[in-house]
Amino acid sequence: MRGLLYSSDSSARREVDVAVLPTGNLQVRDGRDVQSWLLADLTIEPRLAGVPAVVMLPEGGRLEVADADAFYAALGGGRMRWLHALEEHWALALVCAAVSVGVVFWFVTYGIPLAARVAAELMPDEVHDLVGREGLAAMDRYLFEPTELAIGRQAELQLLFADVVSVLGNEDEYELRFRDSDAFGPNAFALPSGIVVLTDELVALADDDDELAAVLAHEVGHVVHRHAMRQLIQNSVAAGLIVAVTGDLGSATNLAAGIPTVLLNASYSRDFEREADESAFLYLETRGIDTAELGELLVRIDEDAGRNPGRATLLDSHPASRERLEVARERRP
Amino acid sequence: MEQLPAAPAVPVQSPALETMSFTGKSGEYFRIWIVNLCLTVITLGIYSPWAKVRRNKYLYRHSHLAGASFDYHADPVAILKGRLIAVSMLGLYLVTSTVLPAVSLLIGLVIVLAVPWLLVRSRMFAMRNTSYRNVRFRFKPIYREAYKVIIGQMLLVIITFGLFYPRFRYARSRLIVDNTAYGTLDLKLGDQVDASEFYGIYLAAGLLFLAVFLLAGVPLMTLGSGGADPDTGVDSSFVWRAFVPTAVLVVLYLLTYYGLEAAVMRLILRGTSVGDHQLRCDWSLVKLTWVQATNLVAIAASLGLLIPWATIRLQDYKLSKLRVAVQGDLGAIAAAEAEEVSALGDEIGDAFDYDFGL
Ligand SMILES: [Zn+2]
Repeated sequence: MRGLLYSSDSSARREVDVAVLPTGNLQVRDGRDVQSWLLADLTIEPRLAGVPAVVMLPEGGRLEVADADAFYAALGGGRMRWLHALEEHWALALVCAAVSVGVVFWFVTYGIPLAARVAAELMPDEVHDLVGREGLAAMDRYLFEPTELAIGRQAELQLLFADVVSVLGNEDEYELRFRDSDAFGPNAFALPSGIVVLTDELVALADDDDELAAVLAHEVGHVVHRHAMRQLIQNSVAAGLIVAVTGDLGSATNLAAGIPTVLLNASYSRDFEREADESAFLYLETRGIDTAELGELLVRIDEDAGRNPGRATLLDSHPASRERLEVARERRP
Repeated sequence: MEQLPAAPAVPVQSPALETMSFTGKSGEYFRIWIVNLCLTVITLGIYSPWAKVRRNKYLYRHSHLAGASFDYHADPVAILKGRLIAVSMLGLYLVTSTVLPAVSLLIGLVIVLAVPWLLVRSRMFAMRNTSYRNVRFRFKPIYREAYKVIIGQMLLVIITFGLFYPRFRYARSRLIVDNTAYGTLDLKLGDQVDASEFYGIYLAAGLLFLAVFLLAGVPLMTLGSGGADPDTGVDSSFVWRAFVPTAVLVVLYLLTYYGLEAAVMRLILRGTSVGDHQLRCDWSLVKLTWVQATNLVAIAASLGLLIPWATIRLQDYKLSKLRVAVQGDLGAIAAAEAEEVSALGDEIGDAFDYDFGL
């Protein structure tokens, strides 16, 4: 075989004859000048499509053999031959693509949510409290005004909340806070530490207290299932994984990496909403209230959002309120 | 093309023009890419340093100059170690930024202060692991200069509300080129390249952006100025007013960005010499911007499957328009003393997505 032997200390090179000997030696011959190495002392680089075979010599020299087929055949394939075999066939490439999609799909649908649920359960209460407190403090600074609800009305709603917690709650602590927020409009959401925030606008929008009870039950459902913390973990893990995987696939993907992250978040939050709705239905059924109360208020929140497009999107976004109204109606006894 | 310095008094032989070439094929590279992806996914990302090395080996070995190819030599284990450190730092930053914003501010400051160090380390690692004709490239450990240029000039950029940015970019490019070496040959950004040319490029890009925006963006924005739908109460023109200008702006920004980056790279490459060997760069900015923009569309439309095709296409164009005026013999360049560099800087740079380009 013909090869190119590169010097170890300069860019010089010369043409040589290369042979793999039955003794387990690699022989390089340039006219009468013959050099030989034990194959075990050489770094024979794994085969790569379309380029010469590359051997790094112990003293820093480099040998390139243009006829890679013949060279690797003489070696019996060389180190990591399976890798080149995988890369050689379109059928195997197709299998690789299918496996990639399958593993990613499994991981995204089951792996990450499962890991987040376990992590949120194991997380000490102090962390939940800290995140909840800091989150509320930040929103108080920028987005919320103090409530303008009458003290009496607040007390009524606190009683309603206590009733919801008595049905749905576990041993954790729950707290209802009132805030006025032009930025969010009619809204309610749950923070990791068990704090549920209800805006004055939502209280005003509700036709009766049954509707508010439904919303509070939905939010308590979020707290019971630790949705806020799970969402935080899931989003971080998903973003990290996407960077880890695509970070190696070329820089053009960096821009596109944001899109799957957003889609993932939306899909996770849909699952959480469904779970929280189940809690709400459980409460409503326990108290003998029509389950459609939840759906009707949701649709009205949506309509309000449609009239005020300048408002911030709902924190606890309700992606398919009409669809959920249908579900709520079907749940009627 | 700009005027080269006046010829020396001693007559020299006229240089031989060698054109670079790229022989990678998209089918071949696609299969390597998909195997990389598969192994990375089933090992939960642990394989990704090996994937990076394999990808770079393919791209470098298919890049040719004067009958010889480049090569990439990084040790995947070194990259893995650096990446683990980088990921844990990133994780720490993410967690603290949600829980304790004050501490994350401190970490952010530390990261900013580490940028010059990271730049030097990452260049050292990248150059040390790049070779041509079995001679390695090198980047000198010029930490002090890096701090002076990056931190010092960055402060000026902030004080001048960005007006200083082209000058900063120029200083950074010069820092990088002038401290790189191929074996014992130093790279040099010619003295004829100065900050004014960088200002020219940024000014042209800014004016172009503004002109196209006024001519195309503004008329589009006024299209959707209806009122609220009387039935639903939904103001559909709001979607138009919000979406169309955003989309137009993003596309414009991307095109300008590609064109600007291509212009800066071309300016630097044209000015760079390796010892006595002068680089020539004949990129057409329009063509290069077109290739990158259509690549992006193809990647998005194929859900990423055309990434390998796009990579090969871009590399092919870039190298086919790059020439070296070789003065004498490319086969007589001595290598420099070897020194090992850890992958830490390189990978932390990757994780925080800092632009370590020229
Ligand atoms: Zn909800």
